[in-house]
Amino acid sequence: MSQGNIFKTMATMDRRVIYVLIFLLVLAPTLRPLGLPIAVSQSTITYYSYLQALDEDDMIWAAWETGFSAWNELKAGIIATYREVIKSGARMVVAFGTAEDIAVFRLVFGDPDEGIRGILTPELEQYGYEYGVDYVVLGYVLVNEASTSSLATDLHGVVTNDYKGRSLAGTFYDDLVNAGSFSLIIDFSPGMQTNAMIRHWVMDYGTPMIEGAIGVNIPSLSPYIDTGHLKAMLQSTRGCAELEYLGGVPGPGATSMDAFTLVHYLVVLFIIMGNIGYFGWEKNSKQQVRTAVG
Amino acid sequence: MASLLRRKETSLILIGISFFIVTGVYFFNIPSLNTFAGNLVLMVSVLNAMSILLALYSQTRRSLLLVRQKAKGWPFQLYLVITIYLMSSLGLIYGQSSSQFMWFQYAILNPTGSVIYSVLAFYMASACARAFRARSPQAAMLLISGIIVLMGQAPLTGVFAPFLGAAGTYLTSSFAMAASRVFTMSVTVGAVVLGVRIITGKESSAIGFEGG
Amino acid sequence: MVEFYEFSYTLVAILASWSMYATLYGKPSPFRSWAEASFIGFTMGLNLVVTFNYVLRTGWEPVSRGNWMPAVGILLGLLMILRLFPKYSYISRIPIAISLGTNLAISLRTTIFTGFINQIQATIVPFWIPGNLYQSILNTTISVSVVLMLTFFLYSTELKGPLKYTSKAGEYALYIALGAVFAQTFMGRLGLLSGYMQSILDPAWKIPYTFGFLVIVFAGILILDRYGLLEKYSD
Repeated sequence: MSQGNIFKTMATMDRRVIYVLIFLLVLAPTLRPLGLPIAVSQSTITYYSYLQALDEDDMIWAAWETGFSAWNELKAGIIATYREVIKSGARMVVAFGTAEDIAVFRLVFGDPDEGIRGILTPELEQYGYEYGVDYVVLGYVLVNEASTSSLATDLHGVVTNDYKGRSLAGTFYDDLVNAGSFSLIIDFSPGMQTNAMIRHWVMDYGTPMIEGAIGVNIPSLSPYIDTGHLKAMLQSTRGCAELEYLGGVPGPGATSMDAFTLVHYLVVLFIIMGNIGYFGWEKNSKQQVRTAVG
Repeated sequence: MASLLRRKETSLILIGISFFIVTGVYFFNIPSLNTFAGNLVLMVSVLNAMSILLALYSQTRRSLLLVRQKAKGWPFQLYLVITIYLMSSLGLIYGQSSSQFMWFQYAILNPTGSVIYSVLAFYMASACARAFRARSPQAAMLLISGIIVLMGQAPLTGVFAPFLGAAGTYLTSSFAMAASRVFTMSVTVGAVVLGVRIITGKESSAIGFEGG
Repeated sequence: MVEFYEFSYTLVAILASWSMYATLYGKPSPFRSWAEASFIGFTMGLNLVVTFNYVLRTGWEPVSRGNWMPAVGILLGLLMILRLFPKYSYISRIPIAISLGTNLAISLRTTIFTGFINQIQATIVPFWIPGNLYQSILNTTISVSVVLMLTFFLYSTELKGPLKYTSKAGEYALYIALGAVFAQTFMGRLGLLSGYMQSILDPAWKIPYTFGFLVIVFAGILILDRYGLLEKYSD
């Protein structure tokens, strides 16, 4: 093969080859984990410190806004976070921001009424974390900015029963008034009501907020870390895996880090190879690579 | 009555009244005003949620039109309409927490909702190999920055080459954050300007009137 | 032993996911069309039910406690639907106007602080922090980059003199930022991909079904493509 052909091959790599390579590098480590080491970043350490500081006197506003797509990206962090919450004994009010979160929540916490076990049911049983006593679920109430704002000013004015229609009277919910009644907001979100909570919960009532952000949202939410509106941020799958590592219970995050590492290196290789091909062939050729996907 | 409702001034008065009721509570400490403003916001949250009915009507009408015309792919449009009403019926009959309702979420929404976004990873990787070219100094800087951050993000890099991890963190914490800050400020200024224009009646297209 | 409930939805989920991944083949296919129609239809049905419950709880239930105002939101929501009928669409301007005014009041008051004033405050930071070289470099980079990038976005004035050079520097800073943002975005999408792959490969009983459906779906696509039937049976 001549030198020009090598450069041409590098510049015009078949996209199907790229797709197959990515699939292989994601599937293979998932089936047979390599156990590659990971380093923990400061942002995750800061996030973890907020969870470590929780105790039985704390009241958490747990905003679940992931839906299924962000759940698959952040599940390691969600599981690790709420494991720490259960261990600490802090009480929790759960609110959903998308219609799918009822199903997502059920995957994690199960449904004791229907005898359905979730991922954290063993921890719930181990620490005696009970529905109605330690946590309540309001359901889909973070619908839009108006509802988020209403909840911040008057919880009971918006909702007085849980996601199954049962009255919350007689539970710890009676003692809660507004956003100021909470000691921490934990938000996992692809950005649905995050900005609204920053504006109406954090800014108006000073309630500290920590965030589990998907990769796409990290740049747009980083300024709020700098301004102090967000106290800590878990950065996508990698941050979730680091949190899992800090929590000491291996799970889906650790397994996905092998694929993470390999595909990242592969993509860097693609960029370098593509540019070698560009300078060696494409730049001087009349033929140009048309599109990335066609 | 109809002529009154058709006038632009009526809409502007309603916008102004609702705006000043909600903001007025921060200037006047009147308990009844506070309560009314809170209820107004709650009422609007319900009103906003009901906009889904518009989407339902539009989608149903479009799909049935394509079915009637026997346009290309019409069976899929018919299937789409059936699934909308099937899912709604299941949820209303058995309840939103029922196993029957959840089954379809786990079977259909979880995979399709996840895959539809994860496919972008493939397209981005393909773009890296086939489209990202250092054709200019600016493009070269973009690529170098991207490579450093990609390397830094790989968990293994922090173990054998911590300086790359630190460099990646520096680039995301400084340049990327600065760019996001600039975009945030620009969008905020734009939003405030648009809001003021709507309230003062200079931007009436938002309420369905043509021109300013 | 896996319950039939979990087994059944897992099988359909694996089929649906490979059908959606058929997008990568590059041509329309009936599998992809089915998956897309399912996604849109079931999502809309789900949102209808959940929103209906929200409207009942938040709009109707307060009436029993003597608060009738949220229920007016239901009436106004129904008026908004009149937008679809040209003869009566003018009536829909009432709920739209009320919603617009209220939402502007809710968001403008706070967004000025979180999105503008606080951002400026966070940009004006000391360039030199004794004993912390990294933070000093970070602060300097952020502050200088924000100013440079802002000059790049000045479109309403001719960029000459010093502005020309700061704008150029801002452009370079922006490209560096975009490279970093691209990497973060890719990380997010990759995380979603690997996370979802895990869910169809773990526990181990799912593995044969995952690969089986992969073969079935892509073999089906290849056969249909071979006989030129892909376009015919998709939308």
